[in-house]
Amino acid sequence: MLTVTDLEAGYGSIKVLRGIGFTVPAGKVVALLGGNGAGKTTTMKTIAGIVAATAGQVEFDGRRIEREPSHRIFARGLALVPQGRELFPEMTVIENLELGGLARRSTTEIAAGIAGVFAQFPRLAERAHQRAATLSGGEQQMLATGRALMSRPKLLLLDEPTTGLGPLIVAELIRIVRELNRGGQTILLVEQNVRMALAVADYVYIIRTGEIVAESEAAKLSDRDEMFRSYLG
Amino acid sequence: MWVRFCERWFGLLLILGLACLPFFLDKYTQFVVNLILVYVTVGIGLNFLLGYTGQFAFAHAALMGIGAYTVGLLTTRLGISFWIALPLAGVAAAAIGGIGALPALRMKRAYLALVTLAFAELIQWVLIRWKDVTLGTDGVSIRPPRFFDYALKGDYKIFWLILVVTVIMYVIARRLTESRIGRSWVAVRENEIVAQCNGINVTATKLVVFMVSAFYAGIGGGLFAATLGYIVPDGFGLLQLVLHFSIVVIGGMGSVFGGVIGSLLLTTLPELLREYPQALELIYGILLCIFIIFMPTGIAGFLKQWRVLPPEVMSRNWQALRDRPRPEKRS
Repeated sequence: MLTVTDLEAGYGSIKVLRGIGFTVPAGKVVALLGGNGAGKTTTMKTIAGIVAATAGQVEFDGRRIEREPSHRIFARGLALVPQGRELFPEMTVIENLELGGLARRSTTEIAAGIAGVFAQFPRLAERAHQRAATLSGGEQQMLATGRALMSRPKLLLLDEPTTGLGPLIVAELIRIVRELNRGGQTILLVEQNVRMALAVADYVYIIRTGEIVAESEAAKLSDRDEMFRSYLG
Repeated sequence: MWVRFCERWFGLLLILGLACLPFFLDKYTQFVVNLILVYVTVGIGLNFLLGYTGQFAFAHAALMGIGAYTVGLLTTRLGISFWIALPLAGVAAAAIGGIGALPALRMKRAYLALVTLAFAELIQWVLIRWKDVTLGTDGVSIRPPRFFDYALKGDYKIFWLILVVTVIMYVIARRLTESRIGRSWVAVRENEIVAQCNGINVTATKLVVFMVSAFYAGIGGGLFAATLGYIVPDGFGLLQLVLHFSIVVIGGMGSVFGGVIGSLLLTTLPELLREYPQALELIYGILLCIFIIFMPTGIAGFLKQWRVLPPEVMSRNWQALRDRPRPEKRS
């Protein structure tokens, strides 16, 4: 579904990605693992069209998208849940979801989408009219994910969903991601949390200073693997 | 449904009531009421930009001037009908506002404010210096618009014209803010990155809001010219701008009702203080400070909180959702 080849990108004169390449097959969960400053978030932003690619290719659903603006990429069915679960803090849960549903045309479609998200995340239904800023970290992550799901994306990009969340909530997120994937959702996940990544991913790439340094099927790895840990640094 | 029903019927009654006003008011009060209605359109326009999209732009008064001058010059110098000149006033302001917005699209906060302020000064400078066309500081007298063979002369007759246009502009504004466009404005205001992540073309959204806002300023300016009957470039300077900002901030940012409440209050206030003109600016300033600190959502926000006014923005979806059964809780 997504094929990234020799992708390069950066900010000004600083090059962050030095030729990254990986694939995300349809119906699978793929994880990019790496430490701070490895280029994980930049990879996500470049794929979503928020940071401009300086070289390389991104092929999504049979089309080259690396030169397209973010809103067109989004319209093609690629939704990014940004790092730090950026929400519209002063708006209610429902209003946040409505804004995620901008791509949907009719009111009834938006309402159906919201009902779908509420079925997926019953906790959000309970807090429907609460301001997003008053939600707990886990609930905020659910809301950010739900908002991205409003557009019914073919590919969901999750950028470090576990940042700053406690172990119980991470377990809940693992359950949610698995459930989404069972429903047929293709997911590209970026993580520092090895446990999360290995628990949900079918395939894992390890990224370090803007390059892929290792890759493996998730089932063959364990988080105690020495070589594996040394790469993460 | 209930809210909508109330709003529709209450609105209709209000319009009918307003339409009868000329039979009861003296000439001067009628003039003030006309001005209030003119500022409803102007205020709603600035609110799109300031309240809904969060763009601190300072060209609204100058764009209102463009609208006023378009109507003034087209009707008096070229003899074009007011009914054609008024929409053209909106279009001219939208076009010039759009051009002015181009360099401003990538700027934020203080930079945006500076660029738009300079742009406003430039417009005013042109109005003053391009004497062959604008008659400079001599100003332009506007002939009263004609409705078939009937001249809409005087404050009473022009009132109905202003009322009709204001109602149309208000209804369009309500529709706009509840539409996809209005929601994308709010998304851009709240967080541009998230808006981008949700498939909003931020640059295009900003250009649209600059142009729509300018269109409202232009129409408002056209009505303003018709109300006053005489315009000078000075009328569209800083004081005018402060008035627009006060209308939006005190009335309520991000609320169409806010534009109505703000213009009602801030057009009446200077008339009540006619005898103390020096106190006026002071009162504006103090009011602005008080509202920004204690009531950032303005009077409309306050009234919405107390449920005197119905909720706005996206309320349509909210209703649709409430009609659907909620998904069952899982344990």
